[in-house]
Amino acid sequence: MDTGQEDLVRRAQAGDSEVFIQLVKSRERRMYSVAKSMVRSDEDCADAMQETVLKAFKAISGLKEAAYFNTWLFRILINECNMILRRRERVVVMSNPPESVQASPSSAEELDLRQAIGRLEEISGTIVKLHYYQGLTVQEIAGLLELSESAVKTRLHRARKTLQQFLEQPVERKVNG
Amino acid sequence: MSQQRLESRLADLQEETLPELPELVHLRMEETYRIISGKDEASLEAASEPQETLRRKRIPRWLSRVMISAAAVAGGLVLLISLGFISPAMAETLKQLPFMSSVFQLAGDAGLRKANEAGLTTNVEQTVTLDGMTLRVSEQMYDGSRFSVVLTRVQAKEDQKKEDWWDLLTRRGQPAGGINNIEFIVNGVKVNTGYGFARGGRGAPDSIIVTALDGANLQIPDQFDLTMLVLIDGMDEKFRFEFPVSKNTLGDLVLGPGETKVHDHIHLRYTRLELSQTSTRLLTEVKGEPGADLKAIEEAIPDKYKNMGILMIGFELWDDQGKKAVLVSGGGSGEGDTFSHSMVFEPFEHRPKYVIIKSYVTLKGGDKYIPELEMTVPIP
Repeated sequence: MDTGQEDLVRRAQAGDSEVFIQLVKSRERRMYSVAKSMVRSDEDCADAMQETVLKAFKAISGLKEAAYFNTWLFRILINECNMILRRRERVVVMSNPPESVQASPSSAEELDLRQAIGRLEEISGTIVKLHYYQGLTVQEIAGLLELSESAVKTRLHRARKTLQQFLEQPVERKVNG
Repeated sequence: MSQQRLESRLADLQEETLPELPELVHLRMEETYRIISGKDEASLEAASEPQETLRRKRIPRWLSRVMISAAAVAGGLVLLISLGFISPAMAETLKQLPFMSSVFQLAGDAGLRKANEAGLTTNVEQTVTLDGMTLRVSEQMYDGSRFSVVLTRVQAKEDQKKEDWWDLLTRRGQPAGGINNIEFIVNGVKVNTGYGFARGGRGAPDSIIVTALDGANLQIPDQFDLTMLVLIDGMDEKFRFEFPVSKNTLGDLVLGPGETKVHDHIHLRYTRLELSQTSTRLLTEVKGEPGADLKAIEEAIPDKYKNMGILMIGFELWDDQGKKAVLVSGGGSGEGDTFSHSMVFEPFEHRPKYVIIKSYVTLKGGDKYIPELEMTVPIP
């Protein structure tokens, strides 16, 4: 992060709410991109992003290093997305949630892949999404999730193996969606 | 499917350019910015708003209450909360506002304050009424080291109304209306855990913070369904609260087990040291010679370590700045050939380069360190 940005973060920490809004607004699209890759529906994205911004606003004075604002903000966002996913796991019963069709995949194959990714255990799923949907490097993911790089690599490796297995067993698809 | 094919399909998923915000999300963000600027008073009143189909009023309840009181008290109450300062006058005002500011923030240990600030807590908001008494579970947090939750007596029985709940709970003689027992059931299975209370403080005299699930040898999954059964003295039926719990943590580090140190027949090692921004937890084990059961272990240890024939051993945690960690809860148990101890401390301000585990025994004359059993654990 450049010093100009760091200054803005410090001003936001000092209580300047307009500067805080400026900081968040400039990261809106990236936040949406990350949230969308995790929770799929726009409604959930809106919930996750709103909660994130409000929590960040409340907590920013506690942020120790202004230079790590991005990591800190996106960590909160990922947390919020994961909480929504966990709640959803309890509610969705059997049929595929409509969101997975709304995403209009280019092919049925891509839909299967996304579904398979959705079936991964939380941390591995998050890592796969950040790496393949967001293009983050292993190092960046390690920093964001506070894991060691080798832990991230191991999980990515295992996740790929798991995905292979999932995809080798074709998912039964309902004729009427 | 081949490895290569999977890799290239995964690669195809990457977004090239950042997407534009859809209208729904854009409007919600604009609403959020208005709340922050304090310009959105209208959204705090339910009724007269014109409903646009895409737009939903989804201000989290806790924040809307905070904004109402901010207007009433003429001060940045949101800021006040994060400062952790509450004046007696403010406490009086807060008492009258329902779902008011976080008890974790007002009266919790440093780890709970941090969890609240970092947005790692969850609002459960479950209320149960039995026989004229109403209890509510509100804010909770689980970070893998301990579970803490705010339990409030919202409504007391007629003859118990005159006393603050904390005063009643801490009064001797097990008065009616006090807590007899709390059971914790994880995914349908009862957990053998101790629990502790902390007071909700002057601002919340009818609230307590219950901390549990911090013991040694507990296998608690990262996500689970929790049932809390609260048995009140003088009542037959238990208050039942059920809600999902997820481990939420901003970075945790787990170390251990360490090497065993032996001195005077005490075989000590730490099995786990967990460091997160909201808790530090230390698990230790004391054993004797191989095959020795609890009785034999205690008998072999010299009398100078014992109080009335009983070994009362405890552990302190010190950081590399010479600061002692503040104990939040602790407990121990013995089974088979091992004494296990579990301690939860407030989190360290900064991750230390190493920590020192100091053992001590409680004797008639006071606590006494056992320097020969001191252990230094480097933190990577």
